[in-house]
Amino acid sequence: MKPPVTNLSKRVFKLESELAFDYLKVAEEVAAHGVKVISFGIGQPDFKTPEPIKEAAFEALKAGHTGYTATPGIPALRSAIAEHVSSFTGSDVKADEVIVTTGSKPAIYFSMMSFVEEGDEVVIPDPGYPTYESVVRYAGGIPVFLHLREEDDFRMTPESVEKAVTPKTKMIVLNSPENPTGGVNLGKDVEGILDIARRKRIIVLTDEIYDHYLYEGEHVSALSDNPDWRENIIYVNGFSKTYSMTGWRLGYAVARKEVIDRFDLMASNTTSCANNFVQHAGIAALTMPQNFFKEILSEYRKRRDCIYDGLNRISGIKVNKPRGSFYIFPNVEKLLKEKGLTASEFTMAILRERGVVTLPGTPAFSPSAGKDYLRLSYALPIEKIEEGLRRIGE
Amino acid sequence: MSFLSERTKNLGTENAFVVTQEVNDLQRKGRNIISFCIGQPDFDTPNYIKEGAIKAINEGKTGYTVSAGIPELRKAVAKYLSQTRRINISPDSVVIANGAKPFIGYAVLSVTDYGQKHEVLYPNPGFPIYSSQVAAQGAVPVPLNLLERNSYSFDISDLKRKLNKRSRLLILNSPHNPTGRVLNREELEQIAELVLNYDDLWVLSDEVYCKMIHDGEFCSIASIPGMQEKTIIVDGVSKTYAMTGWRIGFASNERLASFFSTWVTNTDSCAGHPNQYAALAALTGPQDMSQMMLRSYVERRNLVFKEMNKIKGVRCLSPAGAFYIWPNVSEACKLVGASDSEDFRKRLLYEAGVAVLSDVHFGTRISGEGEHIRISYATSKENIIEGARRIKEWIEKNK
Repeated sequence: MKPPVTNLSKRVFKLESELAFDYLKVAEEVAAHGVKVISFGIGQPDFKTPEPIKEAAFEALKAGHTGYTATPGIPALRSAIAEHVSSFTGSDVKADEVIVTTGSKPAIYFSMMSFVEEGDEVVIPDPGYPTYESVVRYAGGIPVFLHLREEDDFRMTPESVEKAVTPKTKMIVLNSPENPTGGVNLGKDVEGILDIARRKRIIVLTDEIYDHYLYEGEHVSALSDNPDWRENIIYVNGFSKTYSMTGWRLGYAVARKEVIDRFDLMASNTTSCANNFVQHAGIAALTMPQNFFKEILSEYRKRRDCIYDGLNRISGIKVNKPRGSFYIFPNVEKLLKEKGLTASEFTMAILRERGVVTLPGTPAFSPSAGKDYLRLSYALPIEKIEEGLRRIGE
Repeated sequence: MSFLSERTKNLGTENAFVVTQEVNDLQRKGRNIISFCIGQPDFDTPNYIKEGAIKAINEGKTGYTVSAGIPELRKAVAKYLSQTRRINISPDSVVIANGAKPFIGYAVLSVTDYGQKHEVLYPNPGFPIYSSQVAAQGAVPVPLNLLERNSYSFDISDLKRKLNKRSRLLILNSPHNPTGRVLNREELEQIAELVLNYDDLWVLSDEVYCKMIHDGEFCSIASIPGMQEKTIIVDGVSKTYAMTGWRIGFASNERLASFFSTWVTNTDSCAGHPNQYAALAALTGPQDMSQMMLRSYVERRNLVFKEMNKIKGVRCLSPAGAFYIWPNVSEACKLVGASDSEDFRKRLLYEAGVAVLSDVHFGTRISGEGEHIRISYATSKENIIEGARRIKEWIEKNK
């Protein structure tokens, strides 16, 4: 019998994978050969999910919370999120303005699929989280890469946004603190960008998943001091990074109710609902004492300082001190030139030869701003950071 | 922010969730409602499965997994699928996701292009997300009408007429939601014979009810010679192990697996990590709890079939699988003066306190087929008896 050969859709080839997941796969292969892999690859915290959250999950399982929930989430969790976001950002979010999703990625996906149509432009940070570009393209939109510059400490400035928007701009994506650069938008940046968006009636998708990982200053949310947020803001956040719950798959979106109702419909077409017992764990996360994070933040600050110093000591690498998230984005232009390698070739080589996972600053072949950079996630203990840097240095 | 994309406006929903919300609201107001609307087992997840998750959490298996799923689970799924479908499926062909539902969208996305008039055939009545996803992803929905006089089986000549060079995907669902129909090997062979004439045609075989067979035997179209390459098998642990709220489903196809994995990366990153260990426990642990649950559905089917046929104005066929029965209520509608099945459903909910779904939730109306409701009998015998009693009394009182 002849196999089908001609019949894959074209759009399936528009999708990009996420490098972090591709490298995770190769790292597992390398590890299978007995190499102790040190991974600066995937962006997940290394501390354990706090006990009260696990306990709540166990309780929920015992209580038999194992069936479907309402698609937008169990009411108690929606309320808890509304309260948490309101108090954290100084806003007034209501429970029916929240949808619970299986991680924050579906929230990004729903946002783009709900608003972006063929030919619409979406301004996305570059370097940036690859899912933005991939989903914009898939939705038929045109990604407009807003170059975040090293000399601006990778902030997204109102001046650059003003230049990037056109009458076709449907959406601006904010991500601060940023993956992969660690850049943090200042109050004046957020204010200026929101002002442009309001004037030009552009949707702002604000992905604030790293809001707790801030080493200097205070987090400025697009919801803060923004009584008109319902006009044009879609706020995305989740439990993965702050509560170290990446593998639990729990995130959420906040927007005006009519938008949330649409997302509800999209969720009912895809995942039905987020995991039942995990939602109960989520309530525990938001209602437990939040001071556990202080210690974590101070540990992450030490790591940031350690990796920052270490990288700058390696010849051919220079890097700014990132203010947020747990990524650092060193400039390796000189090093790559010396070695005659592209960033992807370089990262693959140190993974296969030295068992160290780093990611290229930009996906292969893309003419993006990050091509002379690497991305390292420093969500790992100081000894490992030092060992990893030693191997890279060699 | 007034603009919404066209494709979002095209999106349908699964009314089981909408009606469940309605039921919850009524219950909160103190109304006693017997609910036959959502398709989920009324059993709690067996303990050994919960233990699988608890152990994983305690061992710190709470980070991301690779998008395709943990290797142990992919291996276990491959083994399970190979055994139950009597074909040889490799772990590399298997992808895990947040439930079986995402694969409907992934499949349509992977084999059709937007606005290119690519056609997707699906059963009508049928699971509402099929047509919703087909339309939302810009393909052309082509319903295959399942008729009562054919016992809701495929009309092969209808399928033959509707297949053409633009056909890209045929969705099969056996055992079938909402009619409970099970396709036997002979019928699947006839379908396969037609499908094999078209190089560009794939089959999405939604087999999530494969373990719920009351009469006869389950057969997957993937086991028909030549069909495995073309078939995307979709299954999950939700129904078999009472794990709907855990959101673990899987699909298998050698060629499409890597694309499905990329779709997972783009939409959900991965399925829940502890949940994957729970699913692993489910598939590899003792099967007696699951078999006990599955056996109970046969008894419930017998009961609901008997009780429903006793009601004046209601007639139904005996479902061979899944946990749904699809009574024809045309006469009952006339008796109580309901304008159609949806009117009947609403009045049943508000006046009799019985929640069901109506045929308008499962596709487009077929002329001459009359009015139908769907009853999920994944509920206790007491509920079945009490629910049937309420329907009966309500019809008597209102005629």
